[in-house]
Amino acid sequence: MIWPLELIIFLIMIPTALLALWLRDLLGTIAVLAAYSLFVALLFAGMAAPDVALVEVVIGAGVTGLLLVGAVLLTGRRDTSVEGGRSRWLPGLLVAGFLGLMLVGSVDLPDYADPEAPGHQRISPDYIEGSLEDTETPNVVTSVLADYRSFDTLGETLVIVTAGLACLVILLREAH
Amino acid sequence: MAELLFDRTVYVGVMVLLAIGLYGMLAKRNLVKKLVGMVIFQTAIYLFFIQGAAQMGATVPVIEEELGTAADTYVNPLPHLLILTALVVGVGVLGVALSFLLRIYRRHGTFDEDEIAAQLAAEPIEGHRVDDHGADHGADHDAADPEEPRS
Repeated sequence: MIWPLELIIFLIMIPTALLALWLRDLLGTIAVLAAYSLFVALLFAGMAAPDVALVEVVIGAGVTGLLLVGAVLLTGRRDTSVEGGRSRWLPGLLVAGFLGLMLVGSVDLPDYADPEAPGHQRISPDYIEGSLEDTETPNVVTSVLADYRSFDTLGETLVIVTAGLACLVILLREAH
Repeated sequence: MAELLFDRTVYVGVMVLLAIGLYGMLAKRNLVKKLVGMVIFQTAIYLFFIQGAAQMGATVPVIEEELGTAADTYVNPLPHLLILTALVVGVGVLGVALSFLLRIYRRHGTFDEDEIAAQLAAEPIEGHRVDDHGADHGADHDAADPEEPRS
């Protein structure tokens, strides 16, 4: 954890996210979104989560970008919507309220990187201490993913199959 | 001192990203932009979990011989796993949403929410499937018929 680096990445990410929503060219939006995903991956790597960083680069920046580019190339590239009137201030007001509530709620959360945080106390130490003996896998994330909690992973696979089938049903029904 | 400040700043950053994503979903009129807002919102949630896994003085959760297996040497691996799952599921959600968008575009020819609403208001909504370009695809329709029983 190198906090100045993480602070700088946060300061880059917020304008990047705003730019992705602001651009009128949808391909530009997708490019900026991919860059945003790369910054998030950097942040994950900085927070000692290399597995998540790799998956974020491949899936967040790669697959998401490819899917969006494919969809936009098949349809329209320009965002021609007109914004104004009620649509401008009402969501802004709602989002400001949401942000305020979330910030008030975050006051009770444990400090960043606090080793005494409740989340680190119960089951996670068992995973770390047992990983080498139980599964002979030094990478604890792998051993939890594929061994301790492999039913979670099975469920995830089912979700992906369902999503793929849903895409097929939605797209093919139209063909006739 | 500055490090102490960052203890809370990381929450502010995550919440601001959440708010940006929510704003994109609520305020943007273009449906692809709404999806982009959703991706930003999801990413902020991933970030919230991953920052919760971090521990001062702890390293990547891969067991090293010389470091031993003491739990406070390594960051919490559980949120990493949850987010790996969520990342993959997020792409599934995006795929289904994009296939809906493709259908909406083929039907209405636009991603603009207001225009779609206007089109829907202009034409009466019928109980059965409205085939407004049936005339163009009449030949396709007949060709497709032998492959399957008439629905």
